[in-house]
Amino acid sequence: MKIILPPHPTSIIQLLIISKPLFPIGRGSLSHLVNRPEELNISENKGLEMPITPMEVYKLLPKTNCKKCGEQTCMSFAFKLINREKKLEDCTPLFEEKKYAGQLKELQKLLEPLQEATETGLIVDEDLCVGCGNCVVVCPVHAAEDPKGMGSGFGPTIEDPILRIEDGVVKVIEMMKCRRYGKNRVLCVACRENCPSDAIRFLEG
Amino acid sequence: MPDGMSTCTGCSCLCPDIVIKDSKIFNACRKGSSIFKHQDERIEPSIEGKKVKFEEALNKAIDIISSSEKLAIFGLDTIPLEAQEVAIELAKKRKAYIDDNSAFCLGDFIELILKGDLPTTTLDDVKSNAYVIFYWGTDPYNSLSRHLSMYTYYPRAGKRQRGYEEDRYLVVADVRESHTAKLVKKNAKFIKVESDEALVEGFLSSMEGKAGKYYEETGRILKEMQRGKFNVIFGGLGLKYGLNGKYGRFIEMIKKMNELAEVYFIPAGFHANMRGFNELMFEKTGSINRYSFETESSAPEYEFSELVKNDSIDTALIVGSDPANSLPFDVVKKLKEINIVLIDPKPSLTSKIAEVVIPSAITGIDQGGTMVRSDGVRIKIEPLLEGEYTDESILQKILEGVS
Repeated sequence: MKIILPPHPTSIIQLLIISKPLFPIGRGSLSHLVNRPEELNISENKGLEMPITPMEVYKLLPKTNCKKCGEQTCMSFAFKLINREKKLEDCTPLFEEKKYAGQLKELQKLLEPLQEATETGLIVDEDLCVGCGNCVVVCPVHAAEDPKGMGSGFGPTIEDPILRIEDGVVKVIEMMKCRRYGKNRVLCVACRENCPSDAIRFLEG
Repeated sequence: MPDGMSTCTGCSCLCPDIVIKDSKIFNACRKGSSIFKHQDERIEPSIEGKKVKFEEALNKAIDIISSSEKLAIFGLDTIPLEAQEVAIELAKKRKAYIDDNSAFCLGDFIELILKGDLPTTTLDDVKSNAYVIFYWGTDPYNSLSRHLSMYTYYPRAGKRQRGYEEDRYLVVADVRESHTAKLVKKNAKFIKVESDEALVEGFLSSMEGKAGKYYEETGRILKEMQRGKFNVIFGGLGLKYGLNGKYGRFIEMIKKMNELAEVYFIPAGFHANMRGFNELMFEKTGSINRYSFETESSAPEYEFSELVKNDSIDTALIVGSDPANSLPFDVVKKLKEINIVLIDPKPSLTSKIAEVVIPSAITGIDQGGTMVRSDGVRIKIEPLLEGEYTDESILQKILEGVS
């Protein structure tokens, strides 16, 4: 069974079984992969495009630094747009001035997957997991919160770890604690890096 | 199954932190959790395939063993030391052959360690001190899933508090890029070996200051070993079959490495209590396996599969093992022709060809006892629930019953 895990702090924790389309995070939708799960092979990275960069967004903004959105520069507005702290509508010149119409259309297209996806995603493929516990032990949050348990290689001694081995496979328990969530999130990939069978993956690749 | 904590006897890691709560198994790997999950799929006592009462099966087994002329006892790797001791007593009483899986598993390395040819340490010391962690001819990710995360590469303990990124150096030597080799990233080295002997020679010539085969890798690894001071090599079946019985140069290599820094050797892993059986036999007889109590000696032709192949036995008492599954087909074909008494908790291929089947218990679930981890540390195992019969009590009754 494949599970997509919720990713954003502001959103409610939810588990989705992959019978529904995946949250699209890159420019290309991932929904076409649902019917062909074999394409989810990470080594080939088919269909998994890179996430949207602030620079791409900035190039399509007015670049006038008019501060009408409340930000000092258009670049910082682009950053906040991607972090979903600002909305495209906050940039009023883009909607009011006709010369930006083309750019607006392109921007809306570029940001479309971002607006649909309120979350970034962690995918756990239980079929590939052997329960080695590498992800549980390497997790820096686990090491900090439970140094005598998970930090030292044993099972968790705290009630709500992020990941836990249950019935021989990895299960996600408390996603909110992960360093990838929150305003100042860190794109940590420690668990994925130490999973040689690719049972743990992130949507961005 | 009742809630509680137990020790997993799925492999020789003997993970002590398994939690069972609301019929869910926590912390065990896939292999270990399946033992707990499917523990109620047990075998019934039977004689020639027909279900009988436990006592009937036991009496029939005593009859068969008493009337046998050439008996071999085989298996014993998944039962506790206490039961193994009774099995050795039984072999002594019946002047039988006794052997376990170590003959074709890592028995050779255990013998070298017990004889003092290879320096060894414990996994707890590895956890708190080891810097270079060298897996040679083994893929622990698949065979001993929690080995890396619990004992060697990942845990932060003792002098190695900064974790795998800074305080450990992983080396994997294998013929292919195994799952474990995929973990080789920063601060790590993968050597794709064509010949294990050549790699041994490579290390030796590097230490002599010559550039032999694999000189780039060996030079770097030796430098890291000097830096780390405490290092460990885990040898697996790939190394055993790669060296093909010629251990002289390998022992010399470890000896020379120890002039540079502390380098220890631990066999990677095997059945839960294989090392226990080897240690018991070594203590009692001076050999670790393939032993005949008739000639009071050990020899390669006393290996269980050889005995079956050469028609040297008429009865086999198999305890906690499934040779019909693990031995080659032509051996199993011959095994079918002799009398088999099986003591095992679960249905298996061997139970289908056995004359008499006596159900026993699973260590860690319905029987306790002492087992020896792959590094030689004795672990006391408490049972989760009270079982009706244990391997020890069954073997004790057979020992008392046979003439």
